[in-house]
Amino acid sequence: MDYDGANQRQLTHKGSISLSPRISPDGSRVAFSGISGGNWEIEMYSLDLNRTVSFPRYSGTNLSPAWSADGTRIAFSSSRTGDPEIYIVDADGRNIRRITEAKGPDVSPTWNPKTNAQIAWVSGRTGLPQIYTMESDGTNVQRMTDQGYAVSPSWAPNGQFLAFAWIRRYGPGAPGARDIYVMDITTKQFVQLTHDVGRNDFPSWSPDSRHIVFQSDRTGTEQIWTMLADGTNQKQLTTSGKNSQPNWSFK
Amino acid sequence: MKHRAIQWSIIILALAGIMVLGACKKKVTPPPPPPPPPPAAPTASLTANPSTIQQGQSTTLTWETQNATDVTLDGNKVDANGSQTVSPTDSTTYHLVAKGAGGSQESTARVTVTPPPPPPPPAPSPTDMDLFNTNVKDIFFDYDSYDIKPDQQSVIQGDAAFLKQHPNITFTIEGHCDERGSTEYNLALGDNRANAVKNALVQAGVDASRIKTISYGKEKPFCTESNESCWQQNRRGHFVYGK
Repeated sequence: MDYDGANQRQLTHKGSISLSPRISPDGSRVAFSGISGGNWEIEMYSLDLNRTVSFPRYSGTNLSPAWSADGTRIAFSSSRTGDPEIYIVDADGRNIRRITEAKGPDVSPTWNPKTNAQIAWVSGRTGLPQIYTMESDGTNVQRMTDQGYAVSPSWAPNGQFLAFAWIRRYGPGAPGARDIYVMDITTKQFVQLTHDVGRNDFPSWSPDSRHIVFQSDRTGTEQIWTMLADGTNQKQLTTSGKNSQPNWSFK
Repeated sequence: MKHRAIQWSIIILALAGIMVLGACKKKVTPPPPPPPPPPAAPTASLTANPSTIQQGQSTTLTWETQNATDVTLDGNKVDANGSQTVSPTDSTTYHLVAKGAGGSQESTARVTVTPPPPPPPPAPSPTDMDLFNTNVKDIFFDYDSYDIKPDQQSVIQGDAAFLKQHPNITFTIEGHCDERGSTEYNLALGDNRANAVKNALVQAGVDASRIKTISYGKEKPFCTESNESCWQQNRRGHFVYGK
Protein backbone atom coordinates (compact mmCIF):
# COMPACT_ATOMS: atom_id res chain seq x y z
CA MET A 1 0.00 0.00 0.00
CA ASP A 2 1.01 3.63 -0.20
CA TYR A 3 2.37 5.49 2.83
CA ASP A 4 -1.07 6.98 3.49
CA GLY A 5 -2.80 3.58 3.53
CA ALA A 6 -4.23 3.82 0.03
CA ASN A 7 -3.77 1.24 -2.75
CA GLN A 8 -3.73 -1.86 -0.57
CA ARG A 9 -2.98 -4.95 -2.63
CA GLN A 10 -2.78 -8.62 -1.75
CA LEU A 11 0.31 -10.34 -3.11
CA THR A 12 0.17 -13.91 -1.83
CA HIS A 13 -2.80 -16.25 -2.07
CA LYS A 14 -1.32 -19.38 -0.61
CA GLY A 15 -4.16 -20.51 1.60
CA SER A 16 -1.66 -20.82 4.43
CA ILE A 17 0.18 -18.39 6.64
CA SER A 18 2.60 -15.91 5.08
CA LEU A 19 4.46 -13.53 7.39
CA SER A 20 7.28 -11.04 7.68
CA PRO A 21 7.31 -9.42 4.24
CA ARG A 22 10.50 -7.50 3.42
CA ILE A 23 10.75 -5.42 0.26
CA SER A 24 14.09 -5.56 -1.55
CA PRO A 25 16.08 -2.31 -1.79
CA ASP A 26 15.38 -2.00 -5.52
CA GLY A 27 11.67 -2.54 -4.91
CA SER A 28 11.50 -5.50 -7.29
CA ARG A 29 10.95 -8.35 -4.85
CA VAL A 30 9.35 -9.20 -1.53
CA ALA A 31 10.96 -11.84 0.63
CA PHE A 32 8.70 -13.40 3.24
CA SER A 33 8.27 -16.54 5.29
CA GLY A 34 5.47 -18.93 4.52
CA ILE A 35 4.49 -22.51 5.19
CA SER A 36 5.35 -24.55 2.13
CA GLY A 37 5.32 -28.33 2.05
CA GLY A 38 4.65 -28.40 5.79
CA ASN A 39 7.69 -26.29 6.54
CA TRP A 40 8.39 -22.62 7.15
CA GLU A 41 10.42 -21.53 4.16
CA ILE A 42 11.81 -18.26 2.88
CA GLU A 43 9.83 -17.37 -0.19
CA MET A 44 10.36 -14.74 -2.83
CA TYR A 45 7.69 -12.78 -4.65
CA SER A 46 8.56 -10.78 -7.75
CA LEU A 47 6.73 -7.46 -7.96
CA ASP A 48 7.82 -7.30 -11.62
CA LEU A 49 6.41 -10.72 -12.53
CA ASN A 50 3.58 -10.63 -10.00
CA ARG A 51 4.29 -14.18 -8.91
CA THR A 52 6.34 -16.21 -6.51
CA VAL A 53 9.78 -17.03 -7.85
CA SER A 54 11.96 -19.90 -6.75
CA PHE A 55 14.14 -19.71 -3.69
CA PRO A 56 16.02 -22.58 -2.02
CA ARG A 57 14.23 -24.64 0.60
CA TYR A 58 15.90 -25.59 3.80
CA SER A 59 14.98 -28.01 6.51
CA GLY A 60 13.77 -26.68 9.84
CA THR A 61 11.90 -23.44 10.45
CA ASN A 62 13.02 -20.56 8.22
CA LEU A 63 11.83 -17.12 9.24
CA SER A 64 12.20 -13.35 9.07
CA PRO A 65 14.21 -12.59 5.93
CA ALA A 66 16.05 -9.23 5.84
CA TRP A 67 17.64 -7.61 2.81
CA SER A 68 21.12 -6.17 3.00
CA ALA A 69 21.23 -2.54 1.94
CA ASP A 70 22.73 -3.40 -1.45
CA GLY A 71 20.17 -6.13 -2.07
CA THR A 72 22.82 -8.81 -2.61
CA ARG A 73 22.27 -10.78 0.60
CA ILE A 74 19.47 -11.91 2.83
CA ALA A 75 19.81 -12.59 6.54
CA PHE A 76 17.21 -14.86 8.10
CA SER A 77 16.55 -17.27 10.94
CA SER A 78 16.77 -21.00 10.30
CA SER A 79 16.53 -23.98 12.63
CA ARG A 80 18.01 -26.33 10.03
CA THR A 81 20.36 -27.62 12.75
CA GLY A 82 17.52 -27.96 15.27
CA ASP A 83 18.00 -24.57 16.91
CA PRO A 84 17.03 -21.23 15.36
CA GLU A 85 20.17 -19.33 14.31
CA ILE A 86 20.88 -16.38 12.03
CA TYR A 87 22.13 -17.27 8.55
CA ILE A 88 23.10 -15.16 5.56
CA VAL A 89 22.50 -16.31 2.01
CA ASP A 90 23.17 -14.58 -1.29
CA ALA A 91 20.03 -13.10 -2.80
CA ASP A 92 20.08 -15.78 -5.50
CA GLY A 93 19.90 -18.45 -2.81
CA ARG A 94 23.52 -19.55 -2.95
CA ASN A 95 26.29 -19.60 -0.41
CA ILE A 96 24.39 -20.00 2.86
CA ARG A 97 26.44 -19.49 6.03
CA ARG A 98 25.63 -19.44 9.67
CA ILE A 99 26.63 -16.42 11.74
CA THR A 100 25.25 -17.07 15.24
CA GLU A 101 25.74 -20.01 17.54
CA ALA A 102 23.76 -19.80 20.74
CA LYS A 103 21.14 -22.07 22.19
CA GLY A 104 17.63 -20.63 22.07
CA PRO A 105 15.73 -18.51 19.59
CA ASP A 106 17.73 -16.23 17.28
CA VAL A 107 15.42 -14.42 14.90
CA SER A 108 14.39 -11.12 13.29
CA PRO A 109 17.66 -9.83 11.82
CA THR A 110 17.87 -6.29 10.37
CA TRP A 111 20.86 -4.83 8.50
CA ASN A 112 22.45 -1.53 9.20
CA PRO A 113 21.40 0.22 5.96
CA LYS A 114 24.14 2.77 6.27
CA THR A 115 27.16 0.51 6.61
CA ASN A 116 25.65 -2.69 5.17
CA ALA A 117 28.03 -4.44 7.57
CA GLN A 118 26.16 -4.89 10.84
CA ILE A 119 23.12 -6.85 11.81
CA ALA A 120 20.79 -6.31 14.74
CA TRP A 121 18.60 -9.22 15.80
CA VAL A 122 16.71 -10.80 18.66
CA SER A 123 18.17 -13.55 20.79
CA GLY A 124 16.70 -15.55 23.66
CA ARG A 125 20.13 -16.89 24.64
CA THR A 126 19.79 -15.51 28.17
CA GLY A 127 16.07 -16.13 28.59
CA LEU A 128 13.69 -13.36 27.63
CA PRO A 129 14.41 -11.98 24.18
CA GLN A 130 16.86 -9.06 23.92
CA ILE A 131 18.19 -6.92 21.07
CA TYR A 132 21.77 -7.60 19.98
CA THR A 133 24.05 -6.27 17.27
CA MET A 134 27.00 -7.92 15.52
CA GLU A 135 29.12 -7.62 12.43
CA SER A 136 27.65 -9.46 9.49
CA ASP A 137 30.32 -12.13 9.89
CA GLY A 138 29.06 -12.87 13.38
CA THR A 139 31.78 -11.12 15.36
CA ASN A 140 31.51 -8.31 17.91
CA VAL A 141 28.22 -9.34 19.48
CA GLN A 142 26.77 -6.52 21.60
CA ARG A 143 23.71 -6.74 23.77
CA MET A 144 21.68 -3.54 23.41
CA THR A 145 18.74 -3.97 25.80
CA ASP A 146 19.32 -4.68 29.45
CA GLN A 147 15.98 -6.00 30.64
CA GLY A 148 12.43 -6.95 29.79
CA TYR A 149 11.19 -8.43 26.55
CA ALA A 150 12.66 -6.75 23.45
CA VAL A 151 11.84 -7.83 19.91
CA SER A 152 11.44 -6.72 16.28
CA PRO A 153 14.42 -4.40 15.66
CA SER A 154 14.51 -2.13 12.62
CA TRP A 155 17.67 -0.23 11.78
CA ALA A 156 17.19 3.38 10.73
CA PRO A 157 18.50 4.32 7.28
CA ASN A 158 20.84 6.85 8.91
CA GLY A 159 22.56 3.94 10.69
CA GLN A 160 22.31 5.67 14.06
CA PHE A 161 19.09 4.33 15.58
CA LEU A 162 17.38 1.08 16.25
CA ALA A 163 13.64 1.02 16.63
CA PHE A 164 12.16 -2.01 18.39
CA ALA A 165 9.29 -3.22 20.51
CA TRP A 166 9.95 -3.52 24.23
CA ILE A 167 8.08 -4.66 27.29
CA ARG A 168 10.53 -2.89 29.51
CA ARG A 169 8.86 -3.43 32.83
CA TYR A 170 8.36 -7.10 32.31
CA GLY A 171 8.08 -8.96 35.57
CA PRO A 172 6.40 -11.92 37.17
CA GLY A 173 2.81 -12.29 36.08
CA ALA A 174 1.32 -10.74 33.00
CA PRO A 175 3.69 -8.50 31.08
CA GLY A 176 2.90 -4.82 30.80
CA ALA A 177 2.33 -2.88 27.62
CA ARG A 178 4.62 -3.40 24.65
CA ASP A 179 5.77 -0.09 23.26
CA ILE A 180 7.95 1.16 20.45
CA TYR A 181 11.33 2.53 21.51
CA VAL A 182 14.19 4.09 19.59
CA MET A 183 17.75 3.54 20.80
CA ASP A 184 20.93 5.31 19.79
CA ILE A 185 23.33 2.47 19.00
CA THR A 186 26.37 4.38 20.20
CA THR A 187 25.15 5.57 23.58
CA LYS A 188 22.39 2.96 24.09
CA GLN A 189 20.16 5.81 25.23
CA PHE A 190 16.56 5.22 24.30
CA VAL A 191 13.33 7.12 23.83
CA GLN A 192 9.88 5.63 24.29
CA LEU A 193 7.61 6.54 21.37
CA THR A 194 4.31 4.88 22.30
CA HIS A 195 2.93 4.93 25.80
CA ASP A 196 0.99 2.11 27.37
CA VAL A 197 -1.54 1.74 24.61
CA GLY A 198 -1.83 -1.99 23.91
CA ARG A 199 0.73 -4.06 22.09
CA ASN A 200 2.83 -2.12 19.60
CA ASP A 201 5.27 -4.06 17.46
CA PHE A 202 7.23 -4.32 14.20
CA PRO A 203 8.44 -0.77 13.69
CA SER A 204 9.88 -0.06 10.24
CA TRP A 205 11.64 3.17 9.23
CA SER A 206 10.77 5.38 6.31
CA PRO A 207 13.69 5.90 3.89
CA ASP A 208 14.28 9.42 5.25
CA SER A 209 14.48 8.16 8.89
CA ARG A 210 11.74 10.64 9.84
CA HIS A 211 8.74 8.29 10.09
CA ILE A 212 8.11 4.91 11.60
CA VAL A 213 5.35 2.54 10.55
CA PHE A 214 4.31 -0.06 13.10
CA GLN A 215 1.49 -2.31 14.20
CA SER A 216 -0.70 -1.68 17.22
CA ASP A 217 -3.71 -3.41 18.73
CA ARG A 218 -4.73 -0.30 20.69
CA THR A 219 -8.09 -0.23 18.91
CA GLY A 220 -8.82 -3.85 19.77
CA THR A 221 -7.41 -5.40 16.61
CA GLU A 222 -3.94 -5.26 15.12
CA GLN A 223 -3.74 -2.40 12.62
CA ILE A 224 -1.01 -0.48 10.84
CA TRP A 225 -0.07 2.96 12.19
CA THR A 226 2.52 5.58 11.40
CA MET A 227 4.16 8.26 13.49
CA LEU A 228 7.02 10.68 13.33
CA ALA A 229 10.28 9.24 14.65
CA ASP A 230 9.82 11.25 17.83
CA GLY A 231 6.53 9.49 18.53
CA THR A 232 4.24 12.38 17.61
CA ASN A 233 1.51 12.45 15.00
CA GLN A 234 0.39 8.83 15.36
CA LYS A 235 -2.04 7.89 12.58
CA GLN A 236 -3.94 4.73 11.80
CA LEU A 237 -3.58 3.55 8.19
CA THR A 238 -5.62 0.33 8.08
CA THR A 239 -8.99 -0.40 9.57
CA SER A 240 -10.45 -3.64 8.25
CA GLY A 241 -9.57 -7.14 9.47
CA LYS A 242 -6.22 -7.57 11.16
CA ASN A 243 -3.07 -6.03 9.71
CA SER A 244 0.43 -6.58 11.00
CA GLN A 245 4.16 -6.61 10.32
CA PRO A 246 4.48 -3.53 8.12
CA ASN A 247 7.69 -2.94 6.17
CA TRP A 248 8.54 0.41 4.65
CA SER A 249 10.24 0.02 1.31
CA PHE A 250 13.72 1.45 0.78
CA LYS A 251 12.58 3.86 -1.90
CA MET B 1 -127.97 -118.44 41.01
CA LYS B 2 -129.25 -114.92 41.25
CA HIS B 3 -126.36 -113.93 43.45
CA ARG B 4 -123.95 -115.09 40.78
CA ALA B 5 -125.66 -112.94 38.21
CA ILE B 6 -125.24 -109.90 40.32
CA GLN B 7 -121.59 -110.66 40.71
CA TRP B 8 -121.19 -110.79 36.95
CA SER B 9 -123.03 -107.58 36.38
CA ILE B 10 -120.82 -105.84 38.89
CA ILE B 11 -117.75 -107.05 37.10
CA ILE B 12 -119.12 -105.99 33.76
CA LEU B 13 -120.05 -102.62 35.11
CA ALA B 14 -116.67 -102.28 36.57
CA LEU B 15 -115.01 -103.25 33.36
CA ALA B 16 -117.22 -100.91 31.48
CA GLY B 17 -116.33 -98.20 33.87
CA ILE B 18 -112.74 -98.92 33.52
CA MET B 19 -113.05 -98.86 29.82
CA VAL B 20 -114.93 -95.61 29.87
CA LEU B 21 -112.52 -94.14 32.29
CA GLY B 22 -109.62 -95.47 30.34
CA ALA B 23 -110.93 -93.88 27.19
CA CYS B 24 -111.28 -90.59 28.88
CA LYS B 25 -107.81 -90.75 30.37
CA LYS B 26 -106.30 -91.37 27.01
CA LYS B 27 -107.53 -88.05 25.81
CA VAL B 28 -105.44 -85.98 28.32
CA THR B 29 -102.10 -87.85 27.90
CA PRO B 30 -99.29 -85.12 27.36
CA PRO B 31 -97.41 -85.10 24.06
CA PRO B 32 -94.31 -87.19 24.03
CA PRO B 33 -91.18 -85.30 25.26
CA PRO B 34 -89.05 -83.70 22.45
CA PRO B 35 -86.07 -85.74 21.40
CA PRO B 36 -82.97 -85.01 23.51
CA PRO B 37 -80.87 -82.13 21.97
CA PRO B 38 -77.93 -83.24 19.85
CA PRO B 39 -74.62 -83.23 21.75
CA ALA B 40 -72.93 -79.71 21.73
CA ALA B 41 -70.16 -79.14 19.18
CA PRO B 42 -66.70 -78.87 20.75
CA THR B 43 -64.80 -75.59 20.73
CA ALA B 44 -61.05 -75.19 20.46
CA SER B 45 -58.61 -72.30 20.62
CA LEU B 46 -54.85 -72.41 20.47
CA THR B 47 -52.50 -69.48 20.92
CA ALA B 48 -48.75 -69.11 20.99
CA ASN B 49 -47.22 -66.37 23.07
CA PRO B 50 -44.99 -64.98 21.79
CA SER B 51 -45.80 -65.89 18.27
CA THR B 52 -42.37 -64.95 16.99
CA ILE B 53 -39.19 -66.20 18.58
CA GLN B 54 -35.56 -66.29 17.72
CA GLN B 55 -34.00 -69.63 17.04
CA GLY B 56 -33.16 -71.21 20.36
CA GLN B 57 -35.81 -69.33 22.28
CA SER B 58 -39.08 -70.92 23.42
CA THR B 59 -42.72 -69.93 23.33
CA THR B 60 -45.79 -71.07 25.25
CA LEU B 61 -48.71 -72.73 23.53
CA THR B 62 -51.97 -72.33 25.43
CA TRP B 63 -55.18 -74.04 24.47
CA GLU B 64 -58.75 -74.21 25.63
CA THR B 65 -61.48 -76.61 24.50
CA GLN B 66 -65.03 -77.29 25.44
CA ASN B 67 -67.27 -80.23 24.80
CA ALA B 68 -64.40 -82.36 23.70
CA THR B 69 -63.59 -85.82 24.81
CA ASP B 70 -60.53 -86.27 22.74
CA VAL B 71 -58.05 -83.40 22.44
CA THR B 72 -54.83 -83.74 20.53
CA LEU B 73 -52.03 -81.29 19.86
CA ASP B 74 -50.15 -82.26 16.75
CA GLY B 75 -51.39 -85.76 17.16
CA ASN B 76 -50.49 -86.13 20.83
CA LYS B 77 -53.30 -86.51 23.29
CA VAL B 78 -53.44 -83.61 25.72
CA ASP B 79 -55.73 -82.29 28.40
CA ALA B 80 -58.80 -80.33 27.47
CA ASN B 81 -57.13 -77.15 28.65
CA GLY B 82 -53.50 -76.66 29.11
CA SER B 83 -50.26 -75.08 28.06
CA GLN B 84 -46.97 -76.32 26.90
CA THR B 85 -43.60 -74.77 26.22
CA VAL B 86 -42.08 -75.47 22.86
CA SER B 87 -38.93 -74.30 21.12
CA PRO B 88 -39.17 -75.12 17.47
CA THR B 89 -36.07 -74.68 15.38
CA ASP B 90 -38.05 -73.59 12.34
CA SER B 91 -41.29 -71.76 11.89
CA THR B 92 -44.07 -74.21 12.78
CA THR B 93 -47.87 -74.31 12.67
CA TYR B 94 -49.29 -76.19 15.64
CA HIS B 95 -52.63 -78.01 15.26
CA LEU B 96 -55.09 -78.48 18.08
CA VAL B 97 -57.92 -80.94 17.36
CA ALA B 98 -60.79 -81.23 19.77
CA LYS B 99 -63.19 -84.15 19.16
CA GLY B 100 -66.36 -84.81 21.02
CA ALA B 101 -69.77 -86.34 20.56
CA GLY B 102 -70.71 -83.12 18.82
CA GLY B 103 -68.04 -83.30 16.22
CA SER B 104 -64.53 -82.03 15.78
CA GLN B 105 -62.96 -78.57 15.94
CA GLU B 106 -59.54 -77.53 14.94
CA SER B 107 -57.40 -74.52 15.83
CA THR B 108 -53.91 -73.60 14.70
CA ALA B 109 -51.19 -71.33 15.98
CA ARG B 110 -48.25 -70.25 13.95
CA VAL B 111 -44.89 -69.76 15.61
CA THR B 112 -42.45 -67.84 13.49
CA VAL B 113 -38.80 -68.59 14.19
CA THR B 114 -36.30 -65.98 13.14
CA PRO B 115 -32.65 -66.78 12.74
CA PRO B 116 -30.50 -65.59 15.61
CA PRO B 117 -29.03 -62.14 14.99
CA PRO B 118 -25.56 -62.20 13.60
CA PRO B 119 -23.04 -62.01 16.36
CA PRO B 120 -22.23 -58.38 17.02
CA PRO B 121 -19.32 -57.39 14.86
CA PRO B 122 -16.18 -57.50 16.90
CA ALA B 123 -15.37 -54.03 18.21
CA PRO B 124 -13.32 -52.42 15.47
CA SER B 125 -9.75 -52.71 16.47
CA PRO B 126 -8.51 -49.20 17.24
CA THR B 127 -6.38 -47.74 14.51
CA ASP B 128 -2.86 -46.60 15.09
CA MET B 129 -4.16 -43.06 14.89
CA ASP B 130 -6.75 -43.71 17.61
CA LEU B 131 -4.12 -45.29 19.83
CA PHE B 132 -1.76 -42.43 19.13
CA ASN B 133 -4.37 -39.81 19.96
CA THR B 134 -5.33 -41.61 23.16
CA ASN B 135 -1.89 -42.39 24.44
CA VAL B 136 0.42 -39.62 23.34
CA LYS B 137 0.02 -36.55 25.54
CA ASP B 138 1.04 -32.98 24.76
CA ILE B 139 3.88 -31.34 26.64
CA PHE B 140 3.28 -27.97 28.31
CA PHE B 141 5.78 -25.19 28.88
CA ASP B 142 6.38 -22.22 31.15
CA TYR B 143 6.18 -18.70 29.78
CA ASP B 144 8.98 -17.88 27.32
CA SER B 145 10.62 -21.24 28.05
CA TYR B 146 11.38 -24.28 25.97
CA ASP B 147 12.75 -26.37 28.84
CA ILE B 148 10.87 -29.59 29.57
CA LYS B 149 9.51 -28.94 33.06
CA PRO B 150 10.06 -31.57 35.77
CA ASP B 151 6.34 -32.25 35.95
CA GLN B 152 6.32 -32.98 32.21
CA GLN B 153 9.11 -35.57 32.34
CA SER B 154 6.76 -38.41 33.18
CA VAL B 155 4.53 -37.37 30.30
CA ILE B 156 7.50 -37.53 27.95
CA GLN B 157 8.42 -40.96 29.28
CA GLY B 158 4.86 -42.20 28.78
CA ASP B 159 4.83 -40.83 25.24
CA ALA B 160 8.19 -42.42 24.50
CA ALA B 161 7.06 -45.80 25.85
CA PHE B 162 4.02 -45.83 23.60
CA LEU B 163 5.96 -44.63 20.57
CA LYS B 164 8.61 -47.30 21.04
CA GLN B 165 5.88 -49.95 21.20
CA HIS B 166 4.49 -48.66 17.89
CA PRO B 167 7.61 -48.18 15.80
CA ASN B 168 5.70 -47.75 12.55
CA ILE B 169 3.94 -44.59 13.61
CA THR B 170 5.38 -41.36 12.27
CA PHE B 171 4.25 -38.10 13.79
CA THR B 172 4.60 -34.33 13.94
CA ILE B 173 5.35 -32.19 16.96
CA GLU B 174 3.87 -28.69 16.69
CA GLY B 175 5.40 -25.94 18.81
CA HIS B 176 2.85 -23.44 20.10
CA CYS B 177 3.15 -20.23 22.11
CA ASP B 178 0.76 -17.92 23.90
CA GLU B 179 -0.46 -14.68 22.39
CA ARG B 180 1.63 -12.32 24.49
CA GLY B 181 4.88 -12.81 22.64
CA SER B 182 5.79 -11.24 19.35
CA THR B 183 4.99 -13.09 16.11
CA GLU B 184 8.48 -13.81 14.84
CA TYR B 185 10.02 -14.50 18.21
CA ASN B 186 7.18 -16.87 19.05
CA LEU B 187 7.75 -18.81 15.85
CA ALA B 188 11.40 -19.29 16.80
CA LEU B 189 10.43 -20.14 20.39
CA GLY B 190 7.81 -22.61 19.15
CA ASP B 191 10.50 -24.22 17.02
CA ASN B 192 12.68 -24.59 20.12
CA ARG B 193 9.73 -26.13 21.98
CA ALA B 194 8.99 -28.63 19.23
CA ASN B 195 12.65 -29.58 19.07
CA ALA B 196 12.91 -29.84 22.86
CA VAL B 197 10.11 -32.42 22.82
CA LYS B 198 11.71 -34.19 19.86
CA ASN B 199 15.11 -34.32 21.55
CA ALA B 200 13.60 -35.68 24.77
CA LEU B 201 11.87 -38.45 22.82
CA VAL B 202 15.02 -39.27 20.87
CA GLN B 203 16.94 -39.41 24.14
CA ALA B 204 14.32 -41.84 25.41
CA GLY B 205 14.93 -44.09 22.43
CA VAL B 206 12.48 -42.93 19.75
CA ASP B 207 13.97 -42.89 16.25
CA ALA B 208 14.44 -39.29 15.12
CA SER B 209 13.51 -40.15 11.53
CA ARG B 210 9.92 -40.75 12.64
CA ILE B 211 9.55 -37.22 13.92
CA LYS B 212 8.72 -34.03 12.03
CA THR B 213 8.60 -30.69 13.81
CA ILE B 214 6.90 -27.44 12.91
CA SER B 215 6.34 -24.22 14.81
CA TYR B 216 3.06 -22.36 14.75
CA GLY B 217 4.15 -19.70 17.22
CA LYS B 218 1.00 -17.94 18.30
CA GLU B 219 -0.65 -18.33 14.89
CA LYS B 220 -2.87 -21.32 15.75
CA PRO B 221 -3.93 -20.99 19.37
CA PHE B 222 -5.92 -23.73 21.09
CA CYS B 223 -7.61 -21.18 23.30
CA THR B 224 -8.22 -17.50 22.57
CA GLU B 225 -9.06 -15.93 25.91
CA SER B 226 -6.57 -13.56 27.52
CA ASN B 227 -5.94 -15.29 30.83
CA GLU B 228 -3.24 -17.53 32.27
CA SER B 229 -5.18 -20.79 32.03
CA CYS B 230 -5.75 -20.15 28.35
CA TRP B 231 -2.17 -19.04 27.77
CA GLN B 232 -0.93 -22.21 29.46
CA GLN B 233 -3.06 -24.24 27.04
CA ASN B 234 -1.29 -22.51 24.17
CA ARG B 235 2.27 -23.07 25.42
CA ARG B 236 2.76 -26.62 24.30
CA GLY B 237 4.34 -29.21 22.11
CA HIS B 238 1.33 -30.72 20.38
CA PHE B 239 1.44 -34.20 18.87
CA VAL B 240 -0.19 -34.90 15.52
CA TYR B 241 -0.35 -38.35 13.95
CA GLY B 242 1.56 -38.60 10.68
CA LYS B 243 4.25 -36.37 9.30
